[in-house]
Amino acid sequence: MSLVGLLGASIRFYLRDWIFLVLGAALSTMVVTGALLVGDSLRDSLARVGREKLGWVKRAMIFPRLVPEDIADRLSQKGIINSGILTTKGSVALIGPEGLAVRGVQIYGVNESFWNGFTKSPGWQPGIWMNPVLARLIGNNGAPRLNLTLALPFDTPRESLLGRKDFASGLATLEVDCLGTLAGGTKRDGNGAGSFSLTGGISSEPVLFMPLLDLQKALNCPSRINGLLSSGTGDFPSIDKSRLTLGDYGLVLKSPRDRVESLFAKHDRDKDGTLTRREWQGQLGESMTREIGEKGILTKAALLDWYRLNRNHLTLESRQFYLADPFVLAAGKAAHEVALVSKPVLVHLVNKIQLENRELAYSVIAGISQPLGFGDKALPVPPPGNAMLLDFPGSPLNGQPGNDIAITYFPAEHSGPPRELSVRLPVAGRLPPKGMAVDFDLAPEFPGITDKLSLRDWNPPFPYDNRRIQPIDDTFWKEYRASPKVIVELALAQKLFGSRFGHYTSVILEAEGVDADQARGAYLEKLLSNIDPAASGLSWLPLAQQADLRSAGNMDFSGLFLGFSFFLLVSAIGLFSLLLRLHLERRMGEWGLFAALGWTRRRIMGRILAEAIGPGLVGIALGLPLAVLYCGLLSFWLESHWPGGDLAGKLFVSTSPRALIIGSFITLATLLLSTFWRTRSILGHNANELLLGDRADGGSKQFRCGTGKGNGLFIGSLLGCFFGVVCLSMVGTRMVDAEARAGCFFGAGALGLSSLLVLFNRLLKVWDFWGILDSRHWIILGLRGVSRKPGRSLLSVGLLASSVFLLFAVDAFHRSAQTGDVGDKASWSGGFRYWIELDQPLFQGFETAAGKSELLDNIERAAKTDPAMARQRADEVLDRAEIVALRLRDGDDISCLNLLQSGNPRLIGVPQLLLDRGGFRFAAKAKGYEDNPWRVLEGSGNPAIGEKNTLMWTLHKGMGDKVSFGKEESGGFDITIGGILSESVFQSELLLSQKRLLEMDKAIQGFRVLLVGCPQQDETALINLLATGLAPLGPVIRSSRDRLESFLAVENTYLATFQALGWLGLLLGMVGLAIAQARGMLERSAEWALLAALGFSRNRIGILVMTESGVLVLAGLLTGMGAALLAVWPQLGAMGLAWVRILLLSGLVGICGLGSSLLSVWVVARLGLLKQLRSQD
Amino acid sequence: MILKAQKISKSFPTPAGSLDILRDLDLQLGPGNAVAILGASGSGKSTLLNILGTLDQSYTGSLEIDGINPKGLAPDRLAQFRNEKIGFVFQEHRLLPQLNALENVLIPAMAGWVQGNHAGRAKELLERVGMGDRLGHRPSELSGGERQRVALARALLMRPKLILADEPTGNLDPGAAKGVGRLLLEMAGTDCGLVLVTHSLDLAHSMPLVFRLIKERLVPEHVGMETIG
Repeated sequence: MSLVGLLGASIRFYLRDWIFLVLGAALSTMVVTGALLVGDSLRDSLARVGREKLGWVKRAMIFPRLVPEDIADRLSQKGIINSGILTTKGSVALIGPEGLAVRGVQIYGVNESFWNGFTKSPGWQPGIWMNPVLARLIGNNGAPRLNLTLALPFDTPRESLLGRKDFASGLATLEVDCLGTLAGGTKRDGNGAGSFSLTGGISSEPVLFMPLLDLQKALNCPSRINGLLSSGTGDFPSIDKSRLTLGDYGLVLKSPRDRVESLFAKHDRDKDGTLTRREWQGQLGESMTREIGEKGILTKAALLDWYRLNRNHLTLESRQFYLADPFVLAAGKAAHEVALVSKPVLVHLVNKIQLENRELAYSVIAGISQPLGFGDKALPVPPPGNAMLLDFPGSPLNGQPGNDIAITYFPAEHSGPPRELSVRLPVAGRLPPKGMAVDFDLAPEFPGITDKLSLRDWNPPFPYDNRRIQPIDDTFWKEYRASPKVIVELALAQKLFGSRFGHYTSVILEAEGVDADQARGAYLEKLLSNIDPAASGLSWLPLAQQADLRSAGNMDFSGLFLGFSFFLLVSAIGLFSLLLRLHLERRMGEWGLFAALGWTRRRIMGRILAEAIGPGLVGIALGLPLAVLYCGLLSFWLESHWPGGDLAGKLFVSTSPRALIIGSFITLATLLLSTFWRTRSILGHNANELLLGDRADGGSKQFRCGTGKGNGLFIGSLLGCFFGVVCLSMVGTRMVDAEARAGCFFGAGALGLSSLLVLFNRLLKVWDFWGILDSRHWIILGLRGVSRKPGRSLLSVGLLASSVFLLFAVDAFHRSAQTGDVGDKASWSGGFRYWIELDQPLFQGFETAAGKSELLDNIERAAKTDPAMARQRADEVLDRAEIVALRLRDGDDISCLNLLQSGNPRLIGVPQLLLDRGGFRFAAKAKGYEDNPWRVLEGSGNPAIGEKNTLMWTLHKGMGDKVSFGKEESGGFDITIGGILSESVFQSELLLSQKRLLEMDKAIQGFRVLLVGCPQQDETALINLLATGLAPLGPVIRSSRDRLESFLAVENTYLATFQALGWLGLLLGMVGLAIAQARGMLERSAEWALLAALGFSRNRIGILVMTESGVLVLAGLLTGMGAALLAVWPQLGAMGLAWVRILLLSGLVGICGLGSSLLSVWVVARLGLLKQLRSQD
Repeated sequence: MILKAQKISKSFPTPAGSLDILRDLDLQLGPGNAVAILGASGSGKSTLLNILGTLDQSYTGSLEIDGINPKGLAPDRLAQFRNEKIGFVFQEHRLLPQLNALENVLIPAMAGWVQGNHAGRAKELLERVGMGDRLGHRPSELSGGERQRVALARALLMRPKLILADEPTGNLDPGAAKGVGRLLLEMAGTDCGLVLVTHSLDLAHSMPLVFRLIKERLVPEHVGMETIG
């Protein structure tokens, strides 16, 4: 017979055994491959969700400002759709008394080209549409009439002096008719526009689509957009600069002709080619017009001639009022290339200029670094630190060199009500009111100020006291408009009036003898070529590519789910190993025979391995479809258990060949290794022992009690171990850090488990020593059966105890935010009971009178009865509250709620108030900052604070590590982790000092996050007040506990997954245990037959069998639970309801154990004992 | 009469038809009677012993042990009957390896049918079989003959009316076998009957009455001093 024939015969003869082994191999394959498939499926599903959200869009430009909508056409390429889009955020409510407002709705203004990229829903027509999420939140998926509150876009930074900061001015409200709900949003709904969103993340946000024109009109920004969508692929296609205009950068270049043309275009209402006084008033100064025309009539040609003669320069300005430094730099380079001189200017509006008791109100002050103009019309640069006064007719100041003037002004940047500052400057001289000294165009146009006839008509966004205005101020305004009354050197002006928004308001470009109008074309071309579009926010974001990359996730999903399936895997392999062991032991005589006949160990081993490969391969083949099923079940579990239902309907099973191959290979290797290991241990016996097989075990040797000294040592060691367990548990309770606590718990548990198993082993020997002195001691017969094979019993108990301990341990780690310490400053909440996130920024904190007053005004307006009383009560509650406003830089949610890879974390700026206050619980503090770890943010090197789970699991960073935000050359920066919060509400973001955050990102406007602390009794009242008062800003209010719970829910989902798979593993372990026990019972069939022959009733034999297997199950259960209890005993009181769950778990394990025991009884009952006895003889 | 077996027949169905093992077999035994049954392998000796020991209830004919017909007894009642009336000695000693000698002897008492302290009698029996100094020893620490002596003591613990011994010396050397045979006869004493199945002529001839099982029937081979009642 050939070896193959021998193998075949063996497999046929032991077919039943091999079938079990095949099932073991199939189970192992299912678990390993299934876990790998889950990882791949999750990645593929996330990528698909990302692509579904983008629809036809592959890349986009998100502009930091409004740009002309024709940019879409200018950047168009053949075969590529470019669609301009206007986005804003707002609240949407059904019209009617029950209209519930949905906050944080993304509003997209889109045109026909956008819709053409999607499969349109039946009945679709241009108009206003909701996505399914908004329809669900609003509770109406028909065609409702909606009330919209939209955030208005602003050119001027809202926190600059000229920015509007009150609630109302930032919002537009309108009523619209919605046409219905678009399809999309889940995998079942297909790829409709209803899924569209430009924001990352797995969750779907509420979206409202509006016709672009309607939204432009509502937001008062005709023909402008702030985003461009494209179907073009490619990573970072460079932008053809020649297709861009200054408008795309928010810049305006004015030559003399431009000024005149613009003036006539806007103000020549009768289109007669002349401007009458009525038409130019409010735009031009009297002094200038007197020079040009008679009787105040200005012709275009005359005006142009005047400009060419007196203002022969180009002016570069920004629609955002302040010119960013890169533009000024580019302007200078371009000027140099066309032989012009670049002369940057900074102007500022000051409240008062005072010399002794004489003063001027609301005047412009200009800073220059080079003389403006030429010859006798030039405006000279004052000496450093000095001021030159405009000596206009009637000026009350009459300043002389040596005098000091006091300038009172608001700073260029402020949140909340501005604080007046003052500076004294020595007067260097006086300037005659001519030439560039009275160039009112040095100050960029600002609606509400520069277009007003009188100072008294101003409507500025800052506190304005028109009582300060004297007749001479108004006279000056009419004569010279916004011409500067004081000139200082640019550096001084920048020091006094510069801000993060800019240090220039315009650049004058001129050269003696060069006609500005003629130079304009060449200069513009050079200017555009010198501006880097990417550095100015004009670059393509490869959204589709990013979605694919980010779908790789913030962690190794395959590894994660392999970890989750670890216990199940160990059980499956353990079961295979156990079945193999039983099979090999059954055939020990056969191996002995081969050995006796001269086969080498290696040859026997090879034969066994060859025999195992067949069932292994068959098992793997059967296991692969099971793996797909396992993956499907795990995906379903995740979909149904993921917090917030964000994964519902989004996961699908991906059968990647890679995972199937790797999973099969790992399983085969593991099974062969297990077979090799088991075979090696069996073949360790000599041929004679193998031939004797199980009979080689001539019966256990009776245990002899050790000496008194030995027993003392044993008891001493055991007590020492238990003392160690207690100490570790105690230390664990003092650990702040969750991982350290877990480490102590597992350390204590492992030590306790080992000690209890040693104790059980000792107990087995003690049972062995217990004498059966009377027939009443018959039950000891069962216990002695347990100690008959102590190794097998200890293994069974150990396996069960470990799994029980693990499951209980995981349950003990079920996380929940504790309510008791929410008001404690040193707790996870920092003492703040609520977290409020606003759609629209708040500019005035409630610690300021104006901010508080604005809030109270809103509350008063909303009060249905007795507004004054409502205001008074609100005032009292606010006085007792602690509200800290934080700045937010939008980015990726880096908490565990976001499964996607995070490349651009959300950042929060921590104000000085919070840095000084301190609080919160820290897992790691920087050296030297132990007392108040927040102060590390004041140090150098861009320090940041992050939450431990976020840093560890999402960002994979620790203390001292750097996190990069883009490339430095395009405005990117690095931050360094200088402190780690422990289990805090700040898990979605990193924290920097507010000052540092604003330095890094100058575009951040206002406060978007509020931390709210208050006495417990004020909690409800305060939150109601804030909900009412902040309603226009779209507040999303969550208790700190809820916020933390939402993060912990993810951890708990992972724990639940681990636990669920652990339960499957335990079940498999139980099956293994039952098989092993049943096999043991079969091995001892002669023993049971003997008892039957000697007159034992079936019941009594059943009880003995139950006792044997029951003792093992009970010992496993008690040992596992005992170890878990020992490890957590200091926290028993705090576990609360967890006990109910633990008791239920114990009950379940007990039931499983009972099932296992009953199986053993069933096996024994089916033996046909007397036949068994007969057949043995 | 301790044992009264009449017209005991036993057959097995086979594809070729019914195979008779025992046919119309009669055997009677009074107190103090001992009988040895000889036979070739496969002749049905053990089958007969299993029928007499109530381990096998699928036979025809009538059987009475101590005046009770065990056929038709409920399983538990049958277990009790076996416990109280019959003592078994098997070819392999069938001692439980996890119990010592004394405990092994006590096993029948643990069946729970007869209350009381049996330890004294167990020790006495072990003394009588010459194992008084080995009470605490486990089977692995005993020789083959010693194990069989312990098994004999176990068979006698409940004061059975009938002792059934199936090749009790099958695994023993001639010296040990002779000792065990003598001991069997001696221990059975005058109160109970002994049926010994063996193919050892020496052991068989040490019994007062010897039958040979030939062609499904018991054929008397040698009658010693005792006679069948």
